[in-house]
Amino acid sequence: MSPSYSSQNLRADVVSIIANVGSDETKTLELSRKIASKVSEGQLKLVELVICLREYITSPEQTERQHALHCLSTILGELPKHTLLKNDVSVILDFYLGKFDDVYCMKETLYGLSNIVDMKCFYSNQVSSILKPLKDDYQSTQYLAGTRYYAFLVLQRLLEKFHESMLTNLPLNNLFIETFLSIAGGEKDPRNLLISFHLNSAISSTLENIPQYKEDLFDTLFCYFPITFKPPKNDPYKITNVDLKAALRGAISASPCFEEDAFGNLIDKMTASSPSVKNDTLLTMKACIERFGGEACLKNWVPIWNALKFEIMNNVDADESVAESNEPEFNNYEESLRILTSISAQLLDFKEGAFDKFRSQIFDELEPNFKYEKDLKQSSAILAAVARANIKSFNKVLEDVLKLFFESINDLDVNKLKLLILNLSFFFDAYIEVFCSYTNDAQTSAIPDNTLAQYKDQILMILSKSLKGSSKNEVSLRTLSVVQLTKLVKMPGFLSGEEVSLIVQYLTETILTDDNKNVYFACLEGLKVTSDVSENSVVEISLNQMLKYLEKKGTHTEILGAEEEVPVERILKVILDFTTSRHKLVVESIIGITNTICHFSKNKEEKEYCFMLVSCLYSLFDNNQEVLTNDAASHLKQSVETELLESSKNVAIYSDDHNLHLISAVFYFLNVNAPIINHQIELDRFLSLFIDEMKVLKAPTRSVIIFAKLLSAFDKACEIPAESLLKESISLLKTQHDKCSEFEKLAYFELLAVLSNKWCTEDAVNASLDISDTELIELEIEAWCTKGLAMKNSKLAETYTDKFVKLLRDLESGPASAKLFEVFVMDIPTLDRVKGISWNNNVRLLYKQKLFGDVAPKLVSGYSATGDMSLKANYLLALSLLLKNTPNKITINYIPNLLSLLLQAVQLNNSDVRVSALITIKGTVNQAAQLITEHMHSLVPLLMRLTCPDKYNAYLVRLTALEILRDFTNNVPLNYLLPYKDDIIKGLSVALDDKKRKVRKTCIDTRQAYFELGQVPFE
Amino acid sequence: MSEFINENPDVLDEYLLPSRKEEEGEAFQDGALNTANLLRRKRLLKIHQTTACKVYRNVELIDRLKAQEAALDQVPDLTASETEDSEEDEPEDPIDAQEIYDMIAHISDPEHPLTLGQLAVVNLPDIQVNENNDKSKISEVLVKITPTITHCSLATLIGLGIRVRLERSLPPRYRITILLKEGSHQSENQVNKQLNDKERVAAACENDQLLGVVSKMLSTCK
Repeated sequence: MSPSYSSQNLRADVVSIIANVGSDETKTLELSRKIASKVSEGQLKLVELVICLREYITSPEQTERQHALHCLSTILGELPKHTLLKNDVSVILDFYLGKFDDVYCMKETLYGLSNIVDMKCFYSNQVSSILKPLKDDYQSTQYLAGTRYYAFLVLQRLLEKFHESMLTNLPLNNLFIETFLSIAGGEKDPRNLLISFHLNSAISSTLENIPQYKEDLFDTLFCYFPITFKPPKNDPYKITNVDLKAALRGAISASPCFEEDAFGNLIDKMTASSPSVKNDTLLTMKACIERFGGEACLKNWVPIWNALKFEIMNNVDADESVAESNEPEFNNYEESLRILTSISAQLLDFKEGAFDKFRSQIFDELEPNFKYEKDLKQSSAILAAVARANIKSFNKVLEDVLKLFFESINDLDVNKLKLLILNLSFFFDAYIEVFCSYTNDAQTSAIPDNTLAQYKDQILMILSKSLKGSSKNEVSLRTLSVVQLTKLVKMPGFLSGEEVSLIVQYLTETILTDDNKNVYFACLEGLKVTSDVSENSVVEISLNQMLKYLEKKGTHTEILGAEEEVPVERILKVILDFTTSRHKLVVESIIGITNTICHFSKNKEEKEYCFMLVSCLYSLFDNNQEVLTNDAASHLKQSVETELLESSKNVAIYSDDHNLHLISAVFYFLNVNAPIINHQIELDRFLSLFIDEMKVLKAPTRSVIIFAKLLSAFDKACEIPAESLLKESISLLKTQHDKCSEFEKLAYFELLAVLSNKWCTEDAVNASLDISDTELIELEIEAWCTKGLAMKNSKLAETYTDKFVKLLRDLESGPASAKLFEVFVMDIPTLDRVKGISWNNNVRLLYKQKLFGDVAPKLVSGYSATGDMSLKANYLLALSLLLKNTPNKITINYIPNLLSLLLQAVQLNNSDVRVSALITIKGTVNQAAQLITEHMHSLVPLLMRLTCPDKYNAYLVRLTALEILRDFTNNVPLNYLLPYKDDIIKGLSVALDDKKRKVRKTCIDTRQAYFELGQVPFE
Repeated sequence: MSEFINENPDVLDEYLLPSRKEEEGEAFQDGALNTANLLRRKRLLKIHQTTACKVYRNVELIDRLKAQEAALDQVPDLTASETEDSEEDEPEDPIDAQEIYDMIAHISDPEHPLTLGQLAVVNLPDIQVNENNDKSKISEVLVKITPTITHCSLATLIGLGIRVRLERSLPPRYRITILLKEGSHQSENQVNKQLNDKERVAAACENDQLLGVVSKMLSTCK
């Protein structure tokens, strides 16, 4: 023994290990490793270790024996595999084999053996010496799961290591299988079962002489089928139900030798009533079919088919609505069909004759169903499942089926037509499945000839006949044919280019003329799918046709190619709907519509038409932001900007407020998405155009709105003479505001907001304004500049909002200042944040919250400081305008302070104030009803009064008051509400006679809610 | 017994029931809206379907800002009590047969999971509204119901459900008459008498169990 590791040391460690076994596993392992490393480094001989352990191993105390043996086994496991020489191994093996009669130490013995088996110097001639005692002397049922685990582990390691030698040594092979059978019987532990299934599968698929043992091997498996296992909460092995199911399934389907037993037993299990058992059975059957091969299929398909037929035909899930709502995890109907596909593929692989027999039997059985229109869906699904295995099966099945389908297509009534199309749809799906591997890259030529293609003309004829030749009331038939036409387009290589075009034509005509929603959406989907497959044909046929209609239109001309008049609104709606996110379609539509606008904008009469076109153009940009990449935007800028700029000067657009505003927003979109490097150049160009040429800051000009929108689009890092622009605009407004129309004034105001938000410094803005001035125009200018500042959370904004709050006390300018509070928080679309664009505006996410938090408390205190009712009204108006434009989730925190104001606000003689106060109250009821409950006594009579006709109870006041009363029933605790039940029911009878239908409807619902309030629920 | 004979009544699809055409103008409640703008808003809605889209927000914003700008220097009298006459020129939607139909067509049949509209127990042509222009005088509503079979034992219950619904939903100035359609029931006269006898209806409504059944029928109303 080497001096560094004395026998005292060893003894100390061994004693420590033995003491720690079963209590501190990590400590045991650590010390075992230490000893193992000493052994492998040659500092310690195995013999010395054994000698040291001897007294414990032979101790009469069973726990001491167990611990000592455990210690030895662990150390063996920690030893490098090559450390022990042949001699050592055989000595230690004999030692362990000798321990076999010590039942108390069985676990440790097997543990040790499992480690010895892995040693390099453990040879094949020693295998049987382990197997024999395992088979004869080891009674698995006597031991706990933990012990049994090591037995399986020994077998697993033996099989891994000596697989080759077993194949050449038949007795060993047989011995191994017999040993396995003996220890695997009666196993229940999930971890052991998992190994057992894997071993079984490895044995039956790789070892020799399986037929001799196949029944026993199968029995050890199938007795567990169908397996279910719910892992305990703190399962250390993390075995799931799925693992076990999959392992068992793998083992059952491992060897074709099981074929006879497997199919018979599985078919028996098909009669199970539990869907999960059935599902397991189906999946296992499918695995068997695929693994056992065609010959096994040929022997067994008849009973399998009969079982599946029963399952498919009687499956309630055949009704799709049920399938969706019920148990999404198992779709046994689908699985059964999948099995048919597998059988079909296997048989065809094996022998064509076998497949023919299978196919013709199924077809013969199902044929009468088509005659009597019985179980059509299931029958078609079965045949399609047989067909979709591969091209050969597809052609063979389709030959029979199509002959049957198209036998009598001449005298079809609507119902029969519908059924025929429904039946065909299954085979379209089968087609897609069979041919989808022939991808689109080689196009039509790659798709081999097939039976369905031969019937293409008839199919197209039937579908187009049911779409074009049926009355518009046949909604379901028309929708169905549109859906199937779409499917044809999806089928790879089925249609020629012209045929796709024809379908696009049909869909376009239908979508423009059919009012039914289902048909509309089916067509829309069809066009979208088609533009995936062939975008060009959609652009050329569908889009161009619609654009052509638009060109011909105009308010006064009503010519159209089709027999029916197609309203412009509809064309534009379709364009908007079907272009969504499709790059080419979006770009082409934008260009096309721009051209139409150019054409019509010159005519004064066409304002309305231009309005529709421009609004559509705006939405094309707005809806498709993600399509407008830098490239797309610069392409569009090139192709449409000049035309649009020209059109914007034309009378039908220039003189119309809406049109001019919307078209200027289009310029915003064009430029905000353009590459950022060009912004400065573009900005300079527009500056010289608007400032130098058109002189928009010298005299009031309507086109300044375009300028304002353009400025909000460009990068805020661009150079611009902002201060002089600001000064000029302000002076223009101050000196010439009587000459400005409202539209022009607003355009200049928006310009001020943009400038003060993006380019002007706080000082520059402050210098241009006069805080002591209370002229109306000065107030407006300040309000808009403040808006720009407030959006970037500028300190200066607070100074000016304070001014406005103070002015509310002023009899003269108070009302106007109150109204201007809305400007601060109003959303202007071009000043919104745009996702993915950071350069356009300085909009802080929480600016409204900050503003509201600053201003609202001041309003509350100002309100309570004055006693004059007309001044109080100013505060209420200002507050209501802020509330109206601020999201509910921001204001809800302030509600406790605001509630008394709100209750007064709803009594002001202004319906807008009433509405915004009511909307805030409504939001509070729905989100934080507890704030409201104690005010019920004042709220209820107030709301009741607001539901009655009155000059200031506008439609929205009455409606919202009713909605609040209705929402009480869902949010306010019953005990608070019940005392008012009868009064409310009685009082609401006034609103039952309201002039507006929607108010009456809401009143009815509200009353009904109160009638049911506190009623014991029926049943 | 009727349950067995009437097991498979003809059922109409929900979407085939008569309904008011899409309510136009629902969304426009701007005071400042003139007719030309209203037309434009309607057009916008036809193209864009919803008022939630940006283009609509834009148009609304322009109109609102313009109106505000125009009214900015006017000092509204927010506190004065009403001086002008309270009659506004708000257009009136009259109560018509379709409205009555919408009130009662969604009542559930007591024995099928279907509505009276789907079973064609109530039909639009069988509803009559005699509106009296003077709202202080009485107006009339006449509903004729068609039981699914001529000996339907639940005709009175269905009638009671309709009556309760209408009494809760119509202003008190309406007289409600519910009759079985001529020749649709074996004991037509008896049922008619029962349905329009105030005392008997009131008595029925006192019966909690019966009221529970009626509540259940009404729970599907939209």
